[in-house]
Amino acid sequence: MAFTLTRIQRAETDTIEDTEEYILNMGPQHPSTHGVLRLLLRCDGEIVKEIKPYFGYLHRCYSKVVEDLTYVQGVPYSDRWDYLASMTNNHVNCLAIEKLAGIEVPRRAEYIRVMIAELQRIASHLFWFGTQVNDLGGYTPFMWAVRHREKIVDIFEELSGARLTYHYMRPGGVMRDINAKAGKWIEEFVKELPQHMRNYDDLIMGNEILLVRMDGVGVLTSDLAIKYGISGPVLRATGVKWDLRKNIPYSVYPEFDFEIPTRQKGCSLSRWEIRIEEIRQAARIVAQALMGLPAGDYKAKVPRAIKPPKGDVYASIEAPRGELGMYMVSDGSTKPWRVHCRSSCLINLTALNEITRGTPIADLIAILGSIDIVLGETDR
Amino acid sequence: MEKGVSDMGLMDKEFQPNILLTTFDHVINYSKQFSLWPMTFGLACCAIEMILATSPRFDLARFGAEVFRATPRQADLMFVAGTVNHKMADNLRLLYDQMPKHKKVIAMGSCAISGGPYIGSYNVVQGVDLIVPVDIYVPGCPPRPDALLEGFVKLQKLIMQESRARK
Amino acid sequence: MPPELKNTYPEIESCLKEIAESFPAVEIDRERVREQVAVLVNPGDLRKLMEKLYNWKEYPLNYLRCITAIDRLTHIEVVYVLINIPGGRGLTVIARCPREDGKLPSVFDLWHTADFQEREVFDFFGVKFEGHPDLRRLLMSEEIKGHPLLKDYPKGGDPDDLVTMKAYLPDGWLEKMQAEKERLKQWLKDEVEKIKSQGTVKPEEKKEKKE
Repeated sequence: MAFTLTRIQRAETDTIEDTEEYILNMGPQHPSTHGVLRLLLRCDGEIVKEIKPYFGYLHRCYSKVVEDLTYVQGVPYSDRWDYLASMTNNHVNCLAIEKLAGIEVPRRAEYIRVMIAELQRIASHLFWFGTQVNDLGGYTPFMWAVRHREKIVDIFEELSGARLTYHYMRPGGVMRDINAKAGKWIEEFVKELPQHMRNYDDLIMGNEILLVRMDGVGVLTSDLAIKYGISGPVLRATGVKWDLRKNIPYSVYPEFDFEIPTRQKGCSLSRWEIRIEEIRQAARIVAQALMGLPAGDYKAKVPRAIKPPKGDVYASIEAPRGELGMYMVSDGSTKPWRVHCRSSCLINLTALNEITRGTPIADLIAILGSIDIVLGETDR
Repeated sequence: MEKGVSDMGLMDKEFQPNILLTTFDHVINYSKQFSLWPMTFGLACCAIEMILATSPRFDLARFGAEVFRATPRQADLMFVAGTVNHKMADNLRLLYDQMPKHKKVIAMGSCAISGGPYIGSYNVVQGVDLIVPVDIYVPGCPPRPDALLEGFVKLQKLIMQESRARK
Repeated sequence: MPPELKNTYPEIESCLKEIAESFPAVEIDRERVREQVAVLVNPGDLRKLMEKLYNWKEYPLNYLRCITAIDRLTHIEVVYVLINIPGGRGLTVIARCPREDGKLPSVFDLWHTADFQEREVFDFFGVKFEGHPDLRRLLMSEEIKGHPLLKDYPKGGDPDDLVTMKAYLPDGWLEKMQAEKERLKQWLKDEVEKIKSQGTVKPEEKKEKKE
């Protein structure tokens, strides 16, 4: 008893000069960095003072490999950037090729693309939701989210044959038409979604632990967000109403009726609420697309060897994680001269130091989860 | 029990039903195959299918690999799921060396088997068997969780064939 | 069909007029980039042009979407895709710099997003950015000397860099890559001479030579 009292007394007399900063390595193999991300943390006790990220542990030489392949052969490589949202990666690749080569996509194919892209957004946000709560300590929502996501994966498997890297969207349209079975499954999915969202709300949204761990944590202001080039839900959480589907429309998005959720606070809870709301809005778009699917071709007549005229293009879409862009340079032959992927995750991480100034290490995990990164896109 | 040392067949019906005669190898291998503890070494897209193999639909836990440890010191199976870089190769070797002695490696996906779609590129190791010895190769890009489960069952069969006595 | 973004907008047009007056060495190219106007600039004028675009009163280009680089064999072009939030219109600025030891002023203090993207251009093309707070490699190991996305870098890796990275390689890989490196050096020399003598680049010949 006497010994314990002495230890507490000694701790109370410790002044700040007695402590020392140390460097902690959150190495590439870590259960919570969502991939092979290495962070060097300079900490004072448990407070993080500075973060130095090291990328490149998943750099797969995409740009160099694709320079040796034709345009169509390079599309499956785009699946592997953000492997949790494969369809939207294909979408931006096909958009870039179509803009370069002047291919016009039929209306039915555009509607199918929008429907599939929004279903992919729901699947990606569900997986994010599961892993975010898993990082904060809750294991059940991860299982629920994954089980729910399996329904979308079944739909995509029916359409494209694969479970993760679909290669479904091709230059000029899509690979296969929506058949009756897939249409029925999509309809059932949209009908059952509100019940699932109510379940998640009941289980999770009122949970005090999650609210305390996310509210006010990792705040980013809007002018800093624009300066850092942030996009996606992270930007919309700071109050800037910027969504490429509404501000720089592509495909047939102007024909759909949906809202862009924004919040003002810029903290992790705002990002959380935006992504949950985006799931509901995406389901709205899917329902409208399914109702109004026009008749026609699902693919345009594209020449066997695509030879776009010389020039460059910058094509970008609103992927689930932000602005995913592609800068493609054609020199008139069948192979691209240069291809560059503008990665939303890499650029969202530019503000990591800003967001995590003075937070404890445990909050850093919550913040990393709320920025929602996938290392395949960061390192390409 | 003084009768226990002579011919097994004749003795079979003389013991009470709760005595089992078997070999040392069989018992160890049998318990080992159903208590493999994998290490979380998911690198890229295949990692997602590895995570989904533990989800309720495919359930790796019923084969005994419920406990995924983040630290190599407590694991005895390494799923190399994803592309291995030249930058990551040293870390892979370090983690492999840190695992306890009787360890197994499953190379999952074509990137781990031979470099996959990135074959011939400047930053991708052309197959993880250049770095660590691999026991089972599971092909696919990414392989379905069912394929991973089949690879796992094959590994269990491989373990059953091991022997300490016959070396 | 959605309204197509045309290359000319009144906001950008007034900006372009003033750019053409204040920077006589700058070229305005409307054909090169689809759906965008490109402004080609030399390294000397780049910094002033960027400051002007950032501080433009009516339509400040406050969001830098993308920085990337293209290897044109005789020189390197660094591309900046700029836009105004919430307007949605913008420009593409293309800066030319020499292939060996190219130097450009950094735009980090105007758009902090240039932090990682300029490091990536340095990593893959060797273009140094003056004024960048921490210019080191982004994705490759920091010890290597080569710049992978240049056209004379072998796809399977430069043998010196592979040795520096202590890579685990299949048998005979280093010799193969040494031969490839020599072939690409010769190919680049031939291409550059062809460009200088003819003044234009023939794309089919370029690709054939590479194969």
